[in-house]
Amino acid sequence: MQIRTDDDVYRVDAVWLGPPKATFPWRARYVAWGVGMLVLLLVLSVERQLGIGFGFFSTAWGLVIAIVLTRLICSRISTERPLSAVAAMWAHELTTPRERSKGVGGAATAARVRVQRSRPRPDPATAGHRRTRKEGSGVRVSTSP
Amino acid sequence: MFGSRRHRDGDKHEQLPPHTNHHSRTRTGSDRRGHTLPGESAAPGYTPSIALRSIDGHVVRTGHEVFAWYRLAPQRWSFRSDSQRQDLIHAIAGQYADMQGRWMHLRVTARPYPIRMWAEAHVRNALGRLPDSPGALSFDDFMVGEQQQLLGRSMAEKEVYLGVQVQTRTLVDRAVERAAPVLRRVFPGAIDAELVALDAEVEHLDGVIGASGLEGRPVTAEEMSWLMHRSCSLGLPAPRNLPAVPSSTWEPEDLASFTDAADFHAEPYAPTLTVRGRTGSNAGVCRHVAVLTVGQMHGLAIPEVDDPWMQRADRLPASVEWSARIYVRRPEEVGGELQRQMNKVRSQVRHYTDEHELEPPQSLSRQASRVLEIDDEMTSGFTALATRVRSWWRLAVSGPDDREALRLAQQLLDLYKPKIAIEHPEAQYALAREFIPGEPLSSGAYLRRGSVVWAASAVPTATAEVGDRRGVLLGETCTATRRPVAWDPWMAQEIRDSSGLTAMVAGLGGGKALALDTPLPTPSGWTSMGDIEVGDYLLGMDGKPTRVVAATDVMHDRQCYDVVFSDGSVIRADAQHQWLTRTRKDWKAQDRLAQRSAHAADAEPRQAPVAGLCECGCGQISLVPNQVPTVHTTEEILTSIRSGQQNNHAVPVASAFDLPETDLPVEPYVLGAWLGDGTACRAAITTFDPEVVAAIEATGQECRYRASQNDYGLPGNLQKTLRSMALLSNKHIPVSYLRASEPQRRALLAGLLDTAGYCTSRGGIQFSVTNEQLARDTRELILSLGYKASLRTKPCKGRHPHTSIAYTVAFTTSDKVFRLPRKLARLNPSARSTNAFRYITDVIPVESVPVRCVQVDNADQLYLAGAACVPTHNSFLGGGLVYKTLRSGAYWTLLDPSGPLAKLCELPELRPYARPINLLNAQPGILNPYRVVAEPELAHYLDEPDPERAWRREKALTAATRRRLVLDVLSGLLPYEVARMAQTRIVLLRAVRAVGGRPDADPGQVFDALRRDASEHHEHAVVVADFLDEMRERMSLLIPESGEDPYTEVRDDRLTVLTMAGLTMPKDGVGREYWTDAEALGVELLNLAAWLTQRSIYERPRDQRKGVWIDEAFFLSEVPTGRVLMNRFARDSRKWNVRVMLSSQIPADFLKIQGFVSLLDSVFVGRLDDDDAQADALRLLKVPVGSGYEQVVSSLGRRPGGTRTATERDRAPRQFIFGDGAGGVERIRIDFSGQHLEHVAASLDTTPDAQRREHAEPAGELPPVTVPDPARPDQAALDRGSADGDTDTAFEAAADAELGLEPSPDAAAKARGSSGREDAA
Repeated sequence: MQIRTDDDVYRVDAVWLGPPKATFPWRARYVAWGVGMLVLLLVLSVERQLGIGFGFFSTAWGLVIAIVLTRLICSRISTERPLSAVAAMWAHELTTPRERSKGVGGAATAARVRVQRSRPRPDPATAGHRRTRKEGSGVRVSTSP
Repeated sequence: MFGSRRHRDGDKHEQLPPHTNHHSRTRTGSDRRGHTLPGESAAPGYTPSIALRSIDGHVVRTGHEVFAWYRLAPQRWSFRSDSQRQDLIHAIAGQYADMQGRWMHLRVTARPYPIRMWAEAHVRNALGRLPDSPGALSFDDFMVGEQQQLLGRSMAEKEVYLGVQVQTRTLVDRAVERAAPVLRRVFPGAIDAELVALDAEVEHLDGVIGASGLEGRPVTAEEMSWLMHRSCSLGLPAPRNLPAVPSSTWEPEDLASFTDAADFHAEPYAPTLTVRGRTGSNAGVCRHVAVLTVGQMHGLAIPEVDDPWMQRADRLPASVEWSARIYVRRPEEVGGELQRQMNKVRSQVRHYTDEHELEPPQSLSRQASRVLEIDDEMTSGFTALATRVRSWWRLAVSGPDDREALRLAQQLLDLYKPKIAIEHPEAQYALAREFIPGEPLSSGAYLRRGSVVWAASAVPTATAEVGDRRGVLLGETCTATRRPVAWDPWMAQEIRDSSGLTAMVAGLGGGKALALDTPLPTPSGWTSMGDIEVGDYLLGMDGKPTRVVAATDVMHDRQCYDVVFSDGSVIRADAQHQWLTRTRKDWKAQDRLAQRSAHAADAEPRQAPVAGLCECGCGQISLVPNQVPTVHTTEEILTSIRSGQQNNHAVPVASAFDLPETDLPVEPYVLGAWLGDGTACRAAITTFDPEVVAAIEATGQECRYRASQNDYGLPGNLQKTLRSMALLSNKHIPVSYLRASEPQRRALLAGLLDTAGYCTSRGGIQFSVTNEQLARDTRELILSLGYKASLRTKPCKGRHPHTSIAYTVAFTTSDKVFRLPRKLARLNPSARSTNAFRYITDVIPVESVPVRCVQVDNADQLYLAGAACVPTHNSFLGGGLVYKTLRSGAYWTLLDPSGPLAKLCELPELRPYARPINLLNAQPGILNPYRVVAEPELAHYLDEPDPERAWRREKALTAATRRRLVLDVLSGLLPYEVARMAQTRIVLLRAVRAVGGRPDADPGQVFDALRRDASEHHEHAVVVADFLDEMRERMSLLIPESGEDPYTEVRDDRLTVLTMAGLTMPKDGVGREYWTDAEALGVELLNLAAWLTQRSIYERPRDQRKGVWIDEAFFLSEVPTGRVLMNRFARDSRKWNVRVMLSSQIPADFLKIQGFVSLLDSVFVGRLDDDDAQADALRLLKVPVGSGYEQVVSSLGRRPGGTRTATERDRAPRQFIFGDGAGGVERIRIDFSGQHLEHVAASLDTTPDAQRREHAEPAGELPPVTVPDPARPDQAALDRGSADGDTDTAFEAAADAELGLEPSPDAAAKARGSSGREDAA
């Protein structure tokens, strides 16, 4: 039996050929038009931010850059890889774990450990006073000598 | 890195902070909670960063979803008819369609099984192996050899898992899960409440997936653990030890055993992903993984042309992992979408046509029609096979470094071109994460939309596996994937509870030798090998006539020699064969006599002496020179083969044979002339000899000179006739001319020689052309006219390489073979005719074989030898199998009538444990039908519910079997007309019944009973007894000598080979009435020998692995008890752990036995060339007939381009189609070519080879046959049993009925009287 996918149906390249009776010499998808508009606005606003004034050549160059950028972006986008997917894959590439060349942790260091030969003892002046104190509460012992 | 502990702040559990501040943190931050004793900090918690949270049975939960996982069963794809495959696809599609609105995750992974593991399993399974013999191949070396033969291969098994979404989880469920540790103490029921509520849903899914098609069963915890491990360490080799599976519940911490096993990382926009193992046997192992995805697909024609598109990846030598996400859409979702697409298409079309007046592109109309098609599919009918799916299909291949991985990826791309595009996208890490169960989809790119039928036609579970993984190695599959095939012949009985019958069917090998009973065409009709005489004329296999020079009788056990003649032909004869030869002495005597006669004639001028007697009239001295050849035996020839330097013996050659005149389309002389000098592509002759033209015109064919081509055209019908005979551009002599009458052939020869022949000065005639076929044909023609011709080649200068060899046929005669006067003039009338004799150049001793030979003239076309020399592939496979299983501890009994497998007994490692027995030389009484059927012992029935009763029933059955067997054997031995008469059967039956079914009877007693017959058929009984007595000498094997019992000695051999060398068997297709006495005896002896092998089953313990191999089992369909034997084999093969292998060259013989196919377990089918045989073989395999698989059977092992005249024997390994009884049917290649098996292969090689100079061993006397006697404790039981007469007679009557014997009148009366008939089966 003949077995086919349905992808054919969904690969309609909706193209705007231009106003009625006036055919553009190029064939651009609607998607490309939409993306192109956005990119043009972006490019023009970037131009303004950079301080380039409004003039014929600046706008023309802006248009050229916008067209180039649109073509670049639209070549990446197809029915197989829609815009959302392209963006998602770009994000995944950025967040891919990289190789960790240096390891976490290291050798244990004992430099912070201070060593004393013997433990500190209470000095004998207050020793007697202390020694008669009971360590734990419990059985009462008279303290009268 | 999955379970990295650094990234979570604000988590409820304690985290592991940077090391130096460890103590302060715990003391200050969380004094109050978590720890009980001062100074102790709570154990750091773990939340895995994969989405999976818990595994309960086969239900797996992530944070948001619940999936149920199933393991799908493998499906056989090859050797199934197209309709079966379509049904499978539709079944799977139907199951997918039941999952509307759910997500599915399909995972295909491979479980490796290296050869090392096979070896371990095999050795563990080899119980009671053959002890090693000193000086021979030991078992360890044998296993080493086997593993070396398959070094680097693996028997990896493909595993397919399917996860189905059950339900999404609600907020409450997630909260409950978070609080599980607390709730478990307080309110345990709440934790399981979620899954309990899903119970009905899960059961529904279990039922749907478990149906035929997918055949999925819920995964076990081990399998789930395996899948998780393989997915989390994608690309790493399989681990040696898996982490243990928890027995009760899976904690999140348990998942660390998978997630911590490997690390992934990649460079930005790198084409591969690097995976590094961290724990266990994979620690430090670094591999690169390339993840690909399925792109756009053309239409495929599955199953007619293409294989399922997921199975195509199996051809890659490395393993490929698949991960597919499939979402099955509801019809309402799709409908709206289709409408929108339709509108899009329509508006585009309108835009083109109406607004811009342009033609819309073709794709739009195609898309419109496709939308309508899909819409139609979805709305018509009740089947849900038009349900739509959205799917993403990912593949992963891995290699030790990135170049390897990319190379494999490129191979995969090329494998799928051009119909399916495989893409290699970026974001490899995210795609690799998709392989883990529970992870979300990485991106929406490369979405494949289709129907469920399209998704099902991937058939992920299609496999090409056959055999098991612990048995003896047979070879490998020769499908697109090469996988070693192992087969354990006792696995079916021990594990699968099925019968142990195996059928081996294969035709002859090589195609050059002929079987003895093949009908052979002659110029006057047909004959068969058995009937051929010297001087008969045969037509060779390709229609060319050949003469029979010598023919012998069937001989066996004689010293045989290969006699080689001066023209290359060889005949195998025994030592005593008589030849008519002329020796040099005879020639010399003739010369002397001629000399003396001439001298006498010169001396005295009287009349020449009367030829014949001397003139004195005494009549004692002959004056005729002795031209008559005298008789010499082969041995005499061997001793006197040379006289000085010259060959001494010459054998006369038959003269030109007489054939009737036939109608020839072209006048033979003209044809000969055209073949010699004509233009190959036209009816024209290029000659400048007016004599030739005149000779042609004398025959009536007009010659017209054409100046433009400088040749003579031959107008008329000639060109048309030549074209119709397929001679244009294909010069050869048609067969009809080679079979024409002598004058016509002479005319043809004259035409050939007149144009391309040459007569030397000494009178030798040569015919030289550059066309090999024409030269050979001319040689045949010359031979058929009674001359001796030789063919030589010489390089010459030609325009093309294939015309640069000159083939010259030379012969000598003084007959007028030319027509041209000038050539006739050169003939030498006194040329000594050397055509009458052929010299013997060599006599080579060969091993003794039963021989019936004929020699034909053209040695390069037919070389016929005795039956044992006919090479069979069956023996090779069977012999190898027997050898290997013997080493692993099996006990075999072989019945090989013609004896090639007897050579196995001579192998040094088997010799102490093997015993060859030649039944024809054995002790009398060895084939006594009463002893050949084994007596059952009570000990064998102890596991039945009522042992005593079962045993007695079995004894009655045995007695009835003996009676039936004797009846059949004796009827088979009688001449057909006598056996057919009804009285014969009656008297025999009565006599047999009188003797009874005791094990100590013999057929002699039956003869006596016949003579004692006192009924009304008394005279007939005596007649029958006379017939049988007459044959008594030939039946010596059946009747023991008085007082001697060949069954007394008990021996314990692992291999017993019964041969019956020299037996004559009837030819296939010949009816019973045409059998000779010897043939009938042969059939019955073979029948009894088969019963003898069956007896050997009962002498050993039940559980011991035993095997029986019966070669040439076709006779089983000829005798009535053959079916009984087959039933016994089938019944006992499982209980007694016996593997019964029956081999034959004609599958129809097996099918003649009713019910055989249902009793059969495994089948080996070799190459068969006959259409009916092919269809029958497919029936044995249970493969549909008529689906085109007959070509597979006929093309097994056939090398493309092999030529008929190749002088090298085809040594390619033999191919079989192997059906292993467990559902697998595949084409395999038998490979016993390892160095450790060289000696075995050499001993099994039975193809004749005249150049093989083996020293023949004399066939001495073999030790008398002794077969162990079953113990006799059942004497007492016999007496006991006879007391209980009532049930015994009932058993007997039932047994008689089962075997088809008419019940005796008194027994029938008793049976009627007794109450209740039991089932004797």
